[in-house]
Amino acid sequence: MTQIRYRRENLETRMENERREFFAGLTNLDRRSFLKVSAACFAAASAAGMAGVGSFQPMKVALGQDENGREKSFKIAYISDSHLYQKHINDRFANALMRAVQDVNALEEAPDFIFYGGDLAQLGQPEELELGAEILANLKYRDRLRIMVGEHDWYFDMGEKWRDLFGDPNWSFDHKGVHFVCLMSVNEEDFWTEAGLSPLERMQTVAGLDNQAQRPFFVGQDQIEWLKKDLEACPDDMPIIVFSHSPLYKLYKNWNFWTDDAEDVQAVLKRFARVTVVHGHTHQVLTNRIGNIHFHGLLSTAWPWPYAPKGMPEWTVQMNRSDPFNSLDGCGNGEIQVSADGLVDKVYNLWNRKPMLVSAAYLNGDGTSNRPMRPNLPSF
Amino acid sequence: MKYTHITFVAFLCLILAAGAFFSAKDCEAQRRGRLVRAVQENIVPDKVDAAASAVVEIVVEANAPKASAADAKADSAPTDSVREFPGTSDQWKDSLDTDWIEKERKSHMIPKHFDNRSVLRGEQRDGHAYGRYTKADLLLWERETERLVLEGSRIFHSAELLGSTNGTSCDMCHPDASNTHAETYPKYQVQLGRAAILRDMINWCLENPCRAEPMSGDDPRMRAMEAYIQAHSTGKVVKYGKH
Repeated sequence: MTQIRYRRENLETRMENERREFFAGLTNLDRRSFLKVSAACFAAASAAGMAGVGSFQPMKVALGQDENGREKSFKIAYISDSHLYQKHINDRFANALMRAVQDVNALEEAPDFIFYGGDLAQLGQPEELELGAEILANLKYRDRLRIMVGEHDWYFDMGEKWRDLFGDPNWSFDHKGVHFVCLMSVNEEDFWTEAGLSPLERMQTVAGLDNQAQRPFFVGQDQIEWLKKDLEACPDDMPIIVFSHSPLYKLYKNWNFWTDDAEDVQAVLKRFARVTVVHGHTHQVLTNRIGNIHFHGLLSTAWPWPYAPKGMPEWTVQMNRSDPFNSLDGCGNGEIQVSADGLVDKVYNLWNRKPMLVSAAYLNGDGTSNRPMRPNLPSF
Repeated sequence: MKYTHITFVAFLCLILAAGAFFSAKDCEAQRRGRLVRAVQENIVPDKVDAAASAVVEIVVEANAPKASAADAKADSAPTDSVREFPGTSDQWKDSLDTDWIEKERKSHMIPKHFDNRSVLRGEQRDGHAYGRYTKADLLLWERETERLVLEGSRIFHSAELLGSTNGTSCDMCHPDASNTHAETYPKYQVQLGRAAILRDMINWCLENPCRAEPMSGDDPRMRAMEAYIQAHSTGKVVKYGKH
């Protein structure tokens, strides 16, 4: 059979190819040419009256270089909320985590580190956590893994196995001028002793998102003191990125999309001009801004949560409702792109869909410019 | 000549498919057996407590006879098939035991029952076709209806009672029955290729995400779950066919 050959590209294909070449060309620019293109773009935009004070300028990247001319912006890959059962009980969740690991391994540019957002296990069983550790050990850059604890990892043995495998649940470090802190935000008041619950019953209670028998999450005064001390050495203009499992604000109490002492933590972070909080737990595209603090949620590899019936932040451009007939729809992983000024552009890599980008420029603006692409259908 | 080959290949496929079909039953029995053993091995020995072992008993009771005499079961009396679902079959018999009701009420939110006090006043009180209702009637209606809803909540939140083989239960994607949208059924479900009612979708979820057996329409668990999901549609406008 003769192969069909198109003798002429149609208009769409030609334009698409031209576009692709243009963008490929841009990424290959050296610094000098990049500045030239930036300046030309800015001049063109100014001439057309399009460039406002708050609009994104590629110049920012050029400013973010150290004395040696190296770029300071960097990338963090993330995976979160895998909720693993033992593999013989549920292979789907294990496979989804393996897919996420493959995604990260396949990144063209190595991430500076890989962040895991908590809830590695579903019922905190040692075997579940071990399976998770085993799968994560397949990461190409596994020495760059930074891991946070979630309530599903904790309440069977109160974190004993998790600490054995991964160490302390709260930690901090500096990287390329940005200070990173991880908080253990899923503490709950003791509701189990009085009710006479076994460890497994306690775990099952906490594992139910809509289970009202549990208490709201909190960070705790001890940890807030630790945070204050940890931040003492950081000047006000140092960019801070905080990781926590629950969102560090109050969204919807019934599902523990909530941190009871969120205001106290926010107060400690208030003096910094650039703060980003990245949290797990909510399994969805979720964006918020309170004062100078930008908040980003993480996608789950296991299943998406519906949006809370009330209390949704206006900053969130909701992802489309997920298709139940596609077991990976609404799930995924993604990237946290830290620009040279320490602000964060958040990429939601939704499996089976186009990725969504929530930029710092959007959160710094008034909510109308640089808005993430709105999906065609409303979430349902 | 060409067609002979095609016929031969099609015939081979048919034989293979038939083989797979007839061995499926045995595989299912083995899978259930494995699940029960897994539960016994992994949860029972070191973490014994009353509730967990009760759950294991339920799983064992529900699965053991099925694995050993699946075919004999088919003709048995309806009472037997009801007994396969412990915790639900005795829902009315256990009416004096209110422990599980209180526990469920404390754990999971159900919307408030409609306030029917208006039937005690005005025209309804004097000229109602079915006689004069009292406060006791209202209490009875509310208590019995809420109990069905709470029973549904218990099943909705329990992988064991759903018969899930992979630990998945409804609440993992639908906390407080959100995103179930009972008010939009019946509707054409594109992916099923037909008009579906709520229980069709429940059964789809049982078979796929939960990898459980589908339930018959009059299964007490199905009735209770529909009650729970519909109760959570309170206040929503019924728009059948909506996507």
